Amino acid sequence: MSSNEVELLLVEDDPNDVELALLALRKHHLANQIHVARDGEEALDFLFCRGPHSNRTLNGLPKVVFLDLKLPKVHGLEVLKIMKDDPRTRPIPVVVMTSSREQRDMVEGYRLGVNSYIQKPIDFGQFQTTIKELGYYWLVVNQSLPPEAFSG
Amino acid sequence: MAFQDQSIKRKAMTVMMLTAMAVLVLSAIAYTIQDLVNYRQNLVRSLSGSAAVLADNSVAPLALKDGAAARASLASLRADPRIVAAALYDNQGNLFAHYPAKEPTSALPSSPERPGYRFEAGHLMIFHPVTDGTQRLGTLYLKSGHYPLYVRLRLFGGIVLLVLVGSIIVALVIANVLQRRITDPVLALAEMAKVVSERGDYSVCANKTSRDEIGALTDAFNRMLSRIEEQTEALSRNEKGLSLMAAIVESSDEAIIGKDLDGKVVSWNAAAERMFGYRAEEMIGQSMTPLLAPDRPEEEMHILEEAKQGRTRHYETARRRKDGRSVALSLVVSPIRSAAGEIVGVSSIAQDITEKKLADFELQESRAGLSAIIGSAMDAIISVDADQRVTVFNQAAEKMFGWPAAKAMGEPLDRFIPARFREMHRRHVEEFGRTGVTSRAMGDLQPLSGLRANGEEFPIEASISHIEISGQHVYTVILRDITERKRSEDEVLRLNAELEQRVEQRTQELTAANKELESFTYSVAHDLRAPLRHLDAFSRILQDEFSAELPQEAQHFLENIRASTTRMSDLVDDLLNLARLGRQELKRLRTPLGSLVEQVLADLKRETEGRTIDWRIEPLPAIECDSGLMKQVFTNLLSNAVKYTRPRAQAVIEIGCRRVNGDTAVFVRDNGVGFNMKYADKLFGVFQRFHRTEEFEGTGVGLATVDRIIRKHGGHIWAEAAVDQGATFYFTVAGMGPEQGAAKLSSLAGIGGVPPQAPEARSAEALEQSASDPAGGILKTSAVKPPGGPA
Repeated sequence: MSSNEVELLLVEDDPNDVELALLALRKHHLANQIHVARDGEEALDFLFCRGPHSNRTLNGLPKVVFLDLKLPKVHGLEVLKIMKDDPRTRPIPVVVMTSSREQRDMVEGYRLGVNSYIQKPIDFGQFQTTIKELGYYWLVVNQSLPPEAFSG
Repeated sequence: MAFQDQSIKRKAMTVMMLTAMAVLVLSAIAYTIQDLVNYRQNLVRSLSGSAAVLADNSVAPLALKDGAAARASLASLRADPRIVAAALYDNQGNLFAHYPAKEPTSALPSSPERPGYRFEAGHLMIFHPVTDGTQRLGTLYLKSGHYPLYVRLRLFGGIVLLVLVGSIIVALVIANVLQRRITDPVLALAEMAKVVSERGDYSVCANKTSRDEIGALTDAFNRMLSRIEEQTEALSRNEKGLSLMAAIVESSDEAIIGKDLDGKVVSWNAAAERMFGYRAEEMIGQSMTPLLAPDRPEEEMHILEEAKQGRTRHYETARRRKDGRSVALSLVVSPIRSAAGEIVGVSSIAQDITEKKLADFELQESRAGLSAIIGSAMDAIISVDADQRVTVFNQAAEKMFGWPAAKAMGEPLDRFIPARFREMHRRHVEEFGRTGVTSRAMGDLQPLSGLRANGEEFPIEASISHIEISGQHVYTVILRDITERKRSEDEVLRLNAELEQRVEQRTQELTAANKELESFTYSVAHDLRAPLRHLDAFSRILQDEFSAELPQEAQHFLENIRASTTRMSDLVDDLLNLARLGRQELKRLRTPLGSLVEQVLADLKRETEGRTIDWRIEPLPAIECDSGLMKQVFTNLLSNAVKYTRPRAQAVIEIGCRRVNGDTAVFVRDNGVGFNMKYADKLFGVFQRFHRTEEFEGTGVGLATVDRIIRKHGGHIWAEAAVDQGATFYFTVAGMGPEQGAAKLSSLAGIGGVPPQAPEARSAEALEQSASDPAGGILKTSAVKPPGGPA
């Protein structure tokens, strides 16, 4: 794992949430390489090395994507669908983190192949715990496929 | 055996013997009497002679008062054995001398009687005067013995007896011979009569043996026999005819009744029995009185009178049956005449016309009803004959076509049809008559039109019927002027189109509003929660990271901010949940309520931690419901029960089901703080709270949500409570009938053990099942959130 390799892609439009998530992750020293995308389009650009990220290579894919659903431009579920439809991005674990408790979002998320679905707890203590556990699990415990195993 | 019952032979013998014996006995008696009379006269004469002699002989002794001589004189009587006693009295009546001298004098009369004789006790006593020719000197008394009289009587008795016996024997022999001459022909005749009567054979003939009365009797008997034989033959000839007549009468469907001139029934056939309900045995010999209609009791008398006058009459009347019902009759009453032409009785033949009367009545009624119907019908009714000329034209038709009925009658139907339809109509009617169908709606293919008197055409609807009455075809057309209806229909069509358009518009508006509401809800869910989280988070960071630099009061305020945040978040969640219920479709599945309760109990572990709660859970039925929503119901009710029993050291929460007003209701009962029933109507309103927040937390949305869920399930919810005495919540659900509830109770599984896992339970709760206590236990486990589970 090279040091400039992005480990975690956080897709989140709310700056407060971004700040709080980063706070929590850093507190537990879980992610050194975090990229934050502020809307769905940016997330997709990043993943598929397009637009502003065209200089990236697909080999530098993140180990996990934390994905909010209510995003400007491209909705979180749309981002999930595109990711899971594309064989290159399909193996990347996606954790949906949302404020919403809409059941149909959850149903749709699982239908599209989401790996985890989290409702952001109101209580910050719980939020911190959740972030810690998620980061620990997906970045440390979970075995992700090495980049060379990704089929074109 | 009585005399009259004995055989004639014996009777003849007895008569003869008795006659003979009577003659003999009477003769013997007469002879004996005569003999006795003669004997007594002889005795008197003889003894009187002796007395005269002796009196003469006693004159001297008496005159001389010579007793010895007197006694000697008397002693001469010894020669006559007939004399048993004698005495001589002097002039003064004193006994002078007596005979036999040795006998005491007490047996003798004390003084002499007047001269003469008398019989006393079989003795003849004679008093004879003793005179010397001029002077009476005394009286002589003589007494005979009775011996000679009885000896004679005995002798005669013996002779008579002997003669009698001899005579009887002789008479028997003679009678026996003679009586045969008389009795034999009689016996023969009797035997013959017996044969005739026993065998019914009238062809035999008795032999005549003499020309006397028996001969005449035999002749008469023979004549009678031949007469009887002739009549028997005639009778048997008639009998066949009679039995045929009887059979006809008996099998007749009409009641045939014979009466005598007094009106008493003499014959009553089977049809009469059926018609009137009286059996022949009951009626024979009786008058017709019980059958007479109460309103015309004199009718029978009149009928009889007419028949007695020799008139045959026809009546229509009514009679009363035995069972009290009335029967209408057609009656023919005629006199019965003897062979001589004399009226001897009355026959009445009755036919039951009750049915016919009823039918006539109904026919009249239905005719009247029909003409009233036709007259008052809203539709025009026109009948035409085979030539299509009008025969019926009702009031509605007059009004519709503007023709008076009187003028329309006999007119061809064409007058009422616009010219261009006439040919078609004619064909239509003819074809209709041919097909044999009796009624049909006309104008199935094209609209029909009528023609008013003023030449105006108008749309009509018509049905036609065809009947054949005695070979005459009658077509009846029922017509309805549908001008108005056409107009209305057009109007309705226009309004419908308009309405449809409006509905379409409203639907679009509604859909839009729904979408808007949905996106609003979505936004609320998503966007309202985010700032709340941030509020909480930054307050927390302030507390955690900068507590050293913050005064105590500031830290308290931060705490308040965080508490408000949590509360706001709960409110948002509950309101969203309530709002979602409105548009959520019920997903009904058969769900065992017991397992839902189990799941809810597992979810409540956090709240029940450290508490002592006595859970009393009865078996619950399985019902058709949306299990997710029904779980919310139990979550709300049970967490309320847990919450409001918090002040109790020993909380008791019961769950079960009861019959309430015929429905099965599930109940949740606690022994908590309860509430005042005067607020019961506010219980299920949104944001209605009965307790202060610092006492019992809550948003005031939970019971409103429960109420909405229960109502969506077609049930209702209510509560009973009292302050500080606990509360009981009841709810029913449509389809949870009493029978269903009872049946499902037995099929319950898992109560008291690990509940069967519902498919909806594949969540964090389900993962905790392994740690759950059996229902009824005290729950004190704490939840451990696995990574990746919902927070």
